[in-house]
Amino acid sequence: MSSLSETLALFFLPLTLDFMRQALWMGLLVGTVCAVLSCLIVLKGWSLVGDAASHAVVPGIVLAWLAGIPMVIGALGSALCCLLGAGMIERHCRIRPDAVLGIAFTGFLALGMVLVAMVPSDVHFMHILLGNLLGIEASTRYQLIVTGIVVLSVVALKFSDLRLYCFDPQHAQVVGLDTQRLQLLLTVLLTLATVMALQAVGVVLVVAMLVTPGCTAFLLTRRLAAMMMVASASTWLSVFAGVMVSFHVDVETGGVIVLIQAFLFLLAFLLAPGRGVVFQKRRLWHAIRADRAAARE
Amino acid sequence: MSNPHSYDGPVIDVSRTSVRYPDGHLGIQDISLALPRASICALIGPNGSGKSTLCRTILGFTRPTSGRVQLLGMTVRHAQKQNLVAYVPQAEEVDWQFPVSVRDVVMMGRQGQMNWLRIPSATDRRCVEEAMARMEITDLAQRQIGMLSGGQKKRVFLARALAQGSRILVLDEPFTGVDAHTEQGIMALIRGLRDEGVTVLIVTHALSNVPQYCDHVAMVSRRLIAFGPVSTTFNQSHLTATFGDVMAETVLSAVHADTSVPSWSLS
Repeated sequence: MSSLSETLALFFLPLTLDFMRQALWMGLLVGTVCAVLSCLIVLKGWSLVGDAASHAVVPGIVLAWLAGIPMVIGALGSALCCLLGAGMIERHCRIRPDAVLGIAFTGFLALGMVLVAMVPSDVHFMHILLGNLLGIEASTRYQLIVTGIVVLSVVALKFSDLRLYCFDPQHAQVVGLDTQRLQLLLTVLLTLATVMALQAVGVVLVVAMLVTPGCTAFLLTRRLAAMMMVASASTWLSVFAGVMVSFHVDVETGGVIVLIQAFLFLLAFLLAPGRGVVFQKRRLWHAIRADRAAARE
Repeated sequence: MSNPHSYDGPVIDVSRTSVRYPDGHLGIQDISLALPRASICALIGPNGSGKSTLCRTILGFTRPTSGRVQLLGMTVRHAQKQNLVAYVPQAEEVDWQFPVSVRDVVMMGRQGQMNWLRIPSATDRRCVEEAMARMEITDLAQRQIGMLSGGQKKRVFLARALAQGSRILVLDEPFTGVDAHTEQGIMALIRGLRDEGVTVLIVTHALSNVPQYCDHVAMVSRRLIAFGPVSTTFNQSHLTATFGDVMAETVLSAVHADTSVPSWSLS
């Protein structure tokens, strides 16, 4: 008995440490913002846009650091330049949108890498590439909290319009909504979520935070609000497990978080009632067996 | 002029409108037509004739490169802001897996008229319930839209347009993929709306039943081939000019021989 409680105490040791608790809180905030946005992104079919935004922020972050302005602003500026620029190119030539986006965001990432190499070396930028929940500086933390609250409030206030825009932009335009403004709004929200996710999992894995929870929740729910809640819950589970495991086993927190998210998706894919593979196969088998029974009679 | 209820000019007024795409490709050329209040007009033409382009221009999705479109004497955008236009899309354009219920979709018809927080008022709720009752989908209100049959799906989007209560209704291929019963239902609804003063524009492939439910017809093949009342315009020479000889023969013989097969369609 005492050995069990000792094991538990050891397992929950990270929660007694200030810096671990802080990492956990930041992870939960970042995770919630990404989960809520991921639902809209998955439904809109913007997964690649999320990936592009995450790579396009790099030069902005370096330039913001050089200019001494808040990192979030630099990141937002550079990602918007990339996405709006790609949109403009796309309208004026016949190359497919995904290819244009591919050129634009790799171009921005390359620019970021060149800038990192030219600027006197600073470990700071490694955090962008790999992410580090455990090492977020106080000034960055403040920016993340403000950004997170802003994004969640805007989604809550504009929920209905954003849902309509993702579902049927043509109808949104016909009933008098400004769809161009809604597109810009969703792009800005997506970029802000990207900047937040960078801190947790780094450039390479951001897209997982912005896609996986939404997909998992899509398989489990039939309403957008419920989808956002399930997506958030799945992310909280991943962040909590990620922080705990990475403390005990000494691996990258971001990697563990994304790995658990992928595992949860796989579970939903197999076992989700209604849309899961097992459920569908079983329903098919029951139907076929009923057909055969009917044919024998 | 800005009051849509006292306006008595043409409700849909397309004048000398051309659309060219950014690559120079021609969409439609120099089309003019004026639809009066309380009328039903079929917009017909072969594939690639520009009838979708004309429809998209009237809805403001595509900007004319010359000429202009006015709705109830206003610009398209102005009319949309005043919720005077409703649009029923083709079934293939809808994401049926989207996590929304039937009632959510019908409520979207009210979206432009709600306050900025989009909290439905008593009027909004009443319009939605009435529209669902009229389309006989009240008992499906809580269903996710993907769990409906083809005819039910169509009725959800018609209910959304009804709930909006607009003066102009544009339908894109409303008769594809629906059974004869639903088709009759849609026609009855359209006629009812016309009698309430709504102007209805229908883009359609189903030619043989045009004389049955439309009072006007516009035939398009890049240019406007013919436009006017069905009784005088829907004839051999115009159909030949739009679709070619063989097609015109087939359509007209179908119309005259057997009007009891209303779902006969070219597509």
